[in-house]
Amino acid sequence: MEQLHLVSNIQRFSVDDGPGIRTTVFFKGCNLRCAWCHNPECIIAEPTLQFTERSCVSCGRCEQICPAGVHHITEDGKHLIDRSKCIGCGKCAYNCYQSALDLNGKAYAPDELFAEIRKDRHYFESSGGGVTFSGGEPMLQRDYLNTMLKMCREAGYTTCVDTAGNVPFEWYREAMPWTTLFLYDIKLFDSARHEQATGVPNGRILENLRLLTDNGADVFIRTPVIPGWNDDLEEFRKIASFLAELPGREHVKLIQLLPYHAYGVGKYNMIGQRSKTEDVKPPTGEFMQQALQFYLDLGLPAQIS
Amino acid sequence: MTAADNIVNISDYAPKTEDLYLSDTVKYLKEVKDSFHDRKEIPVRDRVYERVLAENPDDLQAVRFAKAFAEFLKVKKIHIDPHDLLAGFTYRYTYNTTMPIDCPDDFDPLYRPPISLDSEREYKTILEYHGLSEDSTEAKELRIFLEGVDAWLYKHWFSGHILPGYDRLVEIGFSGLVELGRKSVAEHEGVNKEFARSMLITNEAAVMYIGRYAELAEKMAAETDDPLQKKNLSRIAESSRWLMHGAPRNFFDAVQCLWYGQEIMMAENVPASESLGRMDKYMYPFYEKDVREGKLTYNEASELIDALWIKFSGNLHSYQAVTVSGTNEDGSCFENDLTYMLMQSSRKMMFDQPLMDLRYNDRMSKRLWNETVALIKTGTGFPGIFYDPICIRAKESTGQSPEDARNYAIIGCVETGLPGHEYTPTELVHLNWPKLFELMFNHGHATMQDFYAPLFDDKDLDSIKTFDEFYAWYKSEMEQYTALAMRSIELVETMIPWRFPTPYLSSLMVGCYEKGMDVTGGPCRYNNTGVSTCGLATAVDSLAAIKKVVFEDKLVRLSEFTNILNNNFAGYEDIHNIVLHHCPKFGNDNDEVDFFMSDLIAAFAGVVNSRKNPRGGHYMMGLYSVEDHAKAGMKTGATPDGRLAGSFESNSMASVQGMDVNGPTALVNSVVKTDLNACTNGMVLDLKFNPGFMENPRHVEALHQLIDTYFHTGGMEIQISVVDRQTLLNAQKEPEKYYNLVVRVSGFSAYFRSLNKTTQDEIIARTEYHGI
Repeated sequence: MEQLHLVSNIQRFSVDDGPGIRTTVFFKGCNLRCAWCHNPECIIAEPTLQFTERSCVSCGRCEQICPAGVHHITEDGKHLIDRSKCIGCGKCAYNCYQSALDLNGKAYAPDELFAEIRKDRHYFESSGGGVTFSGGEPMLQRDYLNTMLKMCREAGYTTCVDTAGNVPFEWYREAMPWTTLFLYDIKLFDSARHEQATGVPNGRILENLRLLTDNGADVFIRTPVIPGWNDDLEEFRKIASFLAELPGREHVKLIQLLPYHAYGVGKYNMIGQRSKTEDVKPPTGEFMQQALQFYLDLGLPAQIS
Repeated sequence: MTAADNIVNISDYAPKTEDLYLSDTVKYLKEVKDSFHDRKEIPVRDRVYERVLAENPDDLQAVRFAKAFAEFLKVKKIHIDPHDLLAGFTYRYTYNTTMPIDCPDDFDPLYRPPISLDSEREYKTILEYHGLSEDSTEAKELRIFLEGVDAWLYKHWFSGHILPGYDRLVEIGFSGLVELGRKSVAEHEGVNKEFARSMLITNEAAVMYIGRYAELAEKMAAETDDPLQKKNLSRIAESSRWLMHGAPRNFFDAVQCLWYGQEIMMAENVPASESLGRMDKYMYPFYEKDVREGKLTYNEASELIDALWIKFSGNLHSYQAVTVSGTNEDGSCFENDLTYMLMQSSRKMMFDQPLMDLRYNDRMSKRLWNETVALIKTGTGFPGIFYDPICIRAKESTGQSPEDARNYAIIGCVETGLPGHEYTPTELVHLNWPKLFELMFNHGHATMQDFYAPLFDDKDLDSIKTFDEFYAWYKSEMEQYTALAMRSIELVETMIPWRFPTPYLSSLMVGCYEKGMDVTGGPCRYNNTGVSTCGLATAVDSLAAIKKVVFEDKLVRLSEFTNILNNNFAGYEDIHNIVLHHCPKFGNDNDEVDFFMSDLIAAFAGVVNSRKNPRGGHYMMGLYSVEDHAKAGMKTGATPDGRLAGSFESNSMASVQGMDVNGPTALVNSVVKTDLNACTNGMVLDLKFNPGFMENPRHVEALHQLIDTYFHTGGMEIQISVVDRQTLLNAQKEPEKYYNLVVRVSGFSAYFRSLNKTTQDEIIARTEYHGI
């Protein structure tokens, strides 16, 4: 099912997705299944029904309106949703007076998306910002992505691609001329643990990073710190060594250690799933400092973000 | 002490609040300040006025008021706390004798006085003054206007909202004013002589009043055994004795003199935006001289400013604005030690007073910006940030010289004026835009009160075939209700000097002694009048909703909206859902709906600028709504945008609360599509951020770039609220636990506890930006 081009969200005034004030475009669809993902609605490539239970008053309008029988209000007022039947028409969301239902995922033609991005050009100029394509894994929609990257670069905006690294290197080679900066995730160094946590081994991810930097692409490395999943110091020591030994090390412009936050937990309930990190607490400041120290000891430009 | 000790340690980074100097005396005063109030004092003023006015029936009104004022200053309670660094305290009073208002003579001084307009008295006074019969066209319009004020079609207020010439006061002192007064009385004849006499009476009374404080301080100093108290009280006594006959000699004299000026101002005028002007400019020569001579340190001066801030705090919710920074003649940024000191006092004190406003200059130092950020982070909503190039340009567009325009300061919320030289009642009228729908859908009848205002062009709703026709109708009614209000306030303005004059205030304004006129009669260099708005985005979104559901999607006929609105959407839940959730909303960078805003404001500006006021000045357009968007909302029926009857309207230039879903850049972009150069009476843009956002230096940098871009693309004023929703909800539930929580309301900040529930709800409903 190639190229739906669904965008989950366009977030303007993004200040944590690369330099300056940015507009971040979240693509839907991902080929990793990170246990802690804080954008679970972006993992799903198709339009996704989101339900905010606390807003629902069990009025039953959605049940009457839905052509596919997705919604059912039980006698005791419980709102049951059978997502397997959902055809993504969005009628229930449009007619929900409480805004308890929302259909996540909208297709944008390149011109339409560019028109949205362009609106904040003055902020890009004043702050050195631009556009960030994130997700999900934006590389999975590479033709569309490349079109967008080219349009944005030609307009003079800086472009970031926020990627998990798990696609053929050739795809990066295509995107590189139009990409100012890759925001590149390294989540774990140990491949077996990586596979356990994300569903895929990390050999290709590490190799792609080596190739990217060796080919002169600037990158920010981003490592989330998730207690119970990757919070042992040995992992960070190894990642730091790996980065220090990259042939294109000078292209690693910044390393961001991102302490786990629970903002994504509620989103799982909204799409009828359960978060695997519900009970996870953010790592301690002490741990973050210790992890950071490995990088600093090797002279790498790392920070806690 | 060496000269080196006097120099502040200059670093780009703002010191932490806990590292700022806070003396034990100030800490103590901060604790006890609320206990100084005395409810028994509240009726005293009006009682004295009533008696003296009755005793002097034949004098010119200004002289009668001056005599009553002088008598009041003789008998009113005065207060010095034995620990205090400065003399004085402002008790709360009622002002029913000198304004057509009604205020009960007992209220909690730690909350806002419950003042209501007495529009019947105002109406009768105007008719009597102008010799108008009730049948005259003017009287009929005036009645619509004043009944419209009661029904909240309009908001109307005079008095206050001024920048007294405190710069001249600290330069020449009260004795200097008395000299000017004697000269003026000698030089003028007839009624001008009487006006001069009225001012002189107030200035002589002020001198005697300061004498009462000198005497009290002397007595207290003699009685105390505490060496620190003795020293402070003796300093007050010595300075006050001096100020009776001389101009301020040093920083202490200047601070004490300024406070006397303000305390006495409150004896004459309702505490309502008696603003302080560019304090870091006019107080600096005293500070600089004392520091240069080794007589004063930064910390000693800051202790006095802290004590002064405690004085201001006595008048809760009174919009006393202090302006800092600005632009020098060569375009560079004006700043000095006091710029920092004043902002730091606000950080230390965390009061709702004074309102702190910063003039933003593109060449401001990094240090000043960081000081600004430190103040923003307190969450009090200070400072209001004003972009100098556009504010100066706006002043110039009303005929001010570049030099005068460059010297502007903030009045009350966001209005700008030239201290001591401009008398602009900024709050004479606001038009409540959303209320117009109620009238248009009901042939001029209001639905929430018994009020009828004949439409200028009453229409059969179903005869309207296109949205353009409806839009043109709305625009035309809006213009004509504005024009009607302007005609009515002209009758008000010309009456004021003869019925509700303010001789003490006049004595502080340059031009009044010189011409023998009350300030309200037009003697100043600039004499403008504010005409402002309320509920802009609510009205704009309503138009967008009608366009979509009536004329594009044809879901209902236009006439059905009468039922829909009058039934508060009951039975029309499907339409309510669509207008609320599926119509374009202002504040999201949507050109179609943003155009309504810019186009309607241009039309409004056209009316406002179409005539001169009776004092030969300009009408000035304001795009701010104080707290009226909540108050007017409570009296306004449901609106086509889905807003329910009685609930708050949008605030100033902001989107409808919570409807700006595309983030702050989108909101800013929507706002700057309107030409704000024409906004000569000020505007407000409030952005609310979660406190967590401000903890990350990268976010703070982004905020700076956001503000910068806003200004460079046409923005005028911005203010940053930093408070999280949960705190506000808790404070609403348990006000006693959040007694000192100060929040930004609109162009001002206030104690959250002191706001009515609708206003509280309005603040809670605003979109809060996060940094994720």
